Amino acid sequence: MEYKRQERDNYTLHFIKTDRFKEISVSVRFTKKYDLEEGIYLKLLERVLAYGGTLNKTRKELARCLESLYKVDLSYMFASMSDIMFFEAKMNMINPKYTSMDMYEKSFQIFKEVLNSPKVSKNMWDKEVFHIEKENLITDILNVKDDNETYGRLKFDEKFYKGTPYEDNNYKYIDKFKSADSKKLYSTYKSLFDSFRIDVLVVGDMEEEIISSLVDDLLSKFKSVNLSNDSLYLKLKSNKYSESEEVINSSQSNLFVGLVTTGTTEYERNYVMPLYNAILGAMNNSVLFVKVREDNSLCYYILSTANRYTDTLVITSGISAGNYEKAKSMINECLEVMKNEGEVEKLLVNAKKTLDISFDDYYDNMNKMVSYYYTNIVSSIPTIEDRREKINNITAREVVEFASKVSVREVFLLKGEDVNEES
Amino acid sequence: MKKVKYNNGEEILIYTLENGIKVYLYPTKKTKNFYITVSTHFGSEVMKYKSGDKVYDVTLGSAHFLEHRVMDFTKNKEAMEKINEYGSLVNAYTTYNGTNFNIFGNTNIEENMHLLFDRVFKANIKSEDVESERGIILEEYNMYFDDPYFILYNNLYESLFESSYIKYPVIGTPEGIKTVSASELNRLYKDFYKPRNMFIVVCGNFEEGKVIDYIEEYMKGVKDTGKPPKVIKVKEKMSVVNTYKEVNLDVFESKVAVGYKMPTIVKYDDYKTRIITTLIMSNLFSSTGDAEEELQLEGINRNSFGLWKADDYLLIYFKASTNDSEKFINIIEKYLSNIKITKSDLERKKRGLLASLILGFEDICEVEDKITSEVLTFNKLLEGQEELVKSITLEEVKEVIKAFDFSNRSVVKVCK
Repeated sequence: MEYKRQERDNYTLHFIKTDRFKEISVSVRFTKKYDLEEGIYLKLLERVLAYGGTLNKTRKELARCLESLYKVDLSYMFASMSDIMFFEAKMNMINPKYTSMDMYEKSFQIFKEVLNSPKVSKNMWDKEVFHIEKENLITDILNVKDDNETYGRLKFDEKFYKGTPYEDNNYKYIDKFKSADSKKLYSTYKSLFDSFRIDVLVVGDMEEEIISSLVDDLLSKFKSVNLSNDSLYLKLKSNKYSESEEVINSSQSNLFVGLVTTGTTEYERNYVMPLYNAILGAMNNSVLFVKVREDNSLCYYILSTANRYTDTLVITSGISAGNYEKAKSMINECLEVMKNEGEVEKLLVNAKKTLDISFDDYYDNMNKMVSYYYTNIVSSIPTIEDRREKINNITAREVVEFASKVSVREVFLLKGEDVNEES
Repeated sequence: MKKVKYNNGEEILIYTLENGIKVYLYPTKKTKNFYITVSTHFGSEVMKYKSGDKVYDVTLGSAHFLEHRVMDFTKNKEAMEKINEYGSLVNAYTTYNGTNFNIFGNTNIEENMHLLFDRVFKANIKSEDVESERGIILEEYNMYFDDPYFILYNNLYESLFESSYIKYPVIGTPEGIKTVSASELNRLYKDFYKPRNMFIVVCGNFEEGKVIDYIEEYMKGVKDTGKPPKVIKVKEKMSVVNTYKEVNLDVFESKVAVGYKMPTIVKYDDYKTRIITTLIMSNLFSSTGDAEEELQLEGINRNSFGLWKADDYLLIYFKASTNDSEKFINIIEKYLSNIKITKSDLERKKRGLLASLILGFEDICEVEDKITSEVLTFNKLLEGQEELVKSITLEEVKEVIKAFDFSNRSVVKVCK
């Protein structure tokens, strides 16, 4: 695999050349500081761009055109990471060497049409398309109420991540979506041309010259701006322990436990925290899995995840409401186990191997590869191989020292019926 | 050894060992990892079977329960420690037509195979472990039944089928989970985890010779115990159980499903019929279709379709999240009553299918899934898929359209 970076006048081109895939992925990422209001419109933009442009005038026509080009996939995504946000327009195509060489040009032609000439008129988005997709998006967002785990996570994040962009979610700001207008959508779209940092990440066994020239043409009307290099680390607003619940009509309850760390060093954030997280709740025989699920049959799933931008970890589990106190107490016991050097030592090699395998996945998965290189562009994270090497040298003592900095800050229960009581 | 060749230089090797077990190998250098799986043709579709002179009814959810107990790594601490030492990931799942045990890793492939094979071929199901597993499986059951779509599909199958296995979820029922015994699980294990009823798949970065030598050596200790028992299939009648059913649940938006039950189309072989049926439905109900366009414009964008073959019937179903179920069903039926496909539609759809086939070997887990699902469904690998897709004619498509019968349907609504 070979990485090349080319600075253009109006954007930065990144080639990640690998013959691992039969596909080529072209990801155009527009990045700027997080802004809630703009985010609302970029979320809408994800959907309306699927309606084609001046040549393919409907969603169906566009989809048919893409299918006839051996199923070229055009997709759009809005996301935030720490206090920056990005909008991605992505094209995945089968490498033309497996179909026909004119597919490069034909595929880029459609990508260009959608990105440069979407369905707009008189400084507004097409009214019908805007109305349909606004309503569809609102209903999609409200449908999160029918997915307990996702809904519970949103409610938990609102409390735990207060004061950071992570507390925001579409459900919370549904009224902003309801009052969105097509003029503002158009102006947000237009701002992509001159108010964002623009990076293009191309992954695959591509013809570099052909791609360079096609991307130049695709973005000829766009102009990248600089993004300030501020630290991406965020502080949570609340520093008090809090416990809350919301009752739902469901047989299972969802438990969320938020952990904070204090005085975390850059070294710990990059290397020790992922290892701590693997041992706690992200490997086969994690401390949480063995104690809560296997030894006490309290849940079907339990796992932990780490967030490097807030120095936090979150434990999620599906439990029966009647087991709430017991599960909470077990989780606390697990956090104590993490402070025991002897116990951590027993699991250290396993955790390192688990992370080692997960690092390999970056080379096997195009999306992960794009995500890794992009994160590196905006926040200078250590390389995969650096992480692999440093993590391999971490001692149990270092994990235990990190564990002493971890404490429970937020507990939230999305409470269903007590199934055990009933039976 | 037999080689199955695919376009673009991909190939899968097939071995049949002395004890009757089949081994499928897909060696590749494009990844550092490997993925090893062992599967048995024993899923929740087995509800009754004959072994010797005896006929056994199978407790609902037994195949899934057995999967939990066979993949008993946490109770076998030594094995688990080894697995974790290698950093490998273990998992298992059960479907209607099979159970799959798998391990994903990047080092010590032989030791990984050894650990996985020891679990699957030398399982020891104890009463006390069965008791402690019930709570975990009941939590899993509760998790599924909190999902309105799971409830929707479950009720749809119950409405369409009177006796078929498909009317029950793979996980079974709370009653089955609470009552299945260790002795029944041991009997099912003995009867269905026979080499002739099982197969091994290894995909990824490994030396073919070493892997097959190791498997052959290990299998010397796993005796051929003959054919699996005869599964007794229930007779399912054509008519549906309920034409309409409402399930009350506290949902934000109603979920609706309509399913059509029709006799299996026997015009072409099973695989070709499935490909053509998928192609026809996708031409209407995917983003390239007229029906999908109308649904989208009517705000019914949270919809999907699928098909399944259960016993002697083909099931085609559609589901949506919408409060206007009548409009949804009217649009579906408007298009189903007058299916049209042109030559250019067919050629475009074929390109889409060919693209999917080209990308079918990108990921070793996807290759494993392709092999396992083909072997579980068709009992063989499907060779010559690209040629088959290229050869489909408009006349053949029209023949399949003619054979559709959408007169026999059930509608299920999950609503407040």
